[in-house]
Amino acid sequence: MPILLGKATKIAKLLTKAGKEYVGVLYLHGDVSDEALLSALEEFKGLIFQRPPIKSTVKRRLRTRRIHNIEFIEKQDRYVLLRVSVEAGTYIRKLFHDIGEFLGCGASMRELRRTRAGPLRESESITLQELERAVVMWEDARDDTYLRERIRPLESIVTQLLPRIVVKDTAVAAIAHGASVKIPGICAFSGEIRKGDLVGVFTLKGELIALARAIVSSEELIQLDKGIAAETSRVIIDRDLYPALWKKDE
Amino acid sequence: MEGEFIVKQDCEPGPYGFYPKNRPIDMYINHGIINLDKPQGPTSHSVTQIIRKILKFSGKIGHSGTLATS
Repeated sequence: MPILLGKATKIAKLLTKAGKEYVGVLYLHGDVSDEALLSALEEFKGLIFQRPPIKSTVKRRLRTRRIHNIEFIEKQDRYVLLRVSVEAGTYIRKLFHDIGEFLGCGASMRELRRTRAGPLRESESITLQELERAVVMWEDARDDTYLRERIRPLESIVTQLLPRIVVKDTAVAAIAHGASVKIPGICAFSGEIRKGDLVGVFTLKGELIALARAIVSSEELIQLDKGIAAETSRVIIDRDLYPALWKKDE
Repeated sequence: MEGEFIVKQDCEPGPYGFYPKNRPIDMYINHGIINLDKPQGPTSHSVTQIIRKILKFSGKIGHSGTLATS
């Protein structure tokens, strides 16, 4: 379970929208050959249609979701262990039910565990006790190495979810006050930015200044020397960490 | 998102700000994410309260649920 502290709460939506991976047990309501099962799983990879279940918090209209992968782990009698990697907002119970319908015998979900949320893997998660020990090391021995290992900077997550724009130190304060990202202030950027993409805007030291909506693509950014690259949508950095140069004559 | 990176102009970082890993510890925590192995039993809400106590952290704490979209 990702815990977001302070400034990191501002990127909650990014994690919600990130892809997920689950390990779950699909229970078959009838006997099915391994061959039929595997070919059914194959059918559900890619884009599928789903209507949210009755007990759900979103509007129940038909929508598409991408199933990145369904991996068969093992089968014992009518119990099938699967690893599924999906787009955010995919209902796994529904997916398993639909696989059963496709097979003809019906199926339901028996167990489910989320093994990955965006870049955060369950296998790399820490316990409350580990966190507590790290805090004790810091308070009693003034050693914060463990605490810094247990808690990850929000930047290490954002760089794995969004393309990046890096700006000069002199451009930081304006963006931190909500100004748009101007092309002359840009030092470097990711090659895969498309118009309309959400991007992370970073300082040269790698601090996340803000989330912004790209108004030009990477290809256009290579060509252009002036104008606006992205509109700032959410400021993350402390506003006063970098000096506001436009105020220097005050 | 670790693909190609295009350099528009050479820039050097100045004296302001901090590399995320080297932020002063209080500031570090205030920009932190914990990938928590949630204990069975207590609710997500009470787990965030426990973390608040352990870290003596008074700022905002959020969580993105374990199985929000199952």
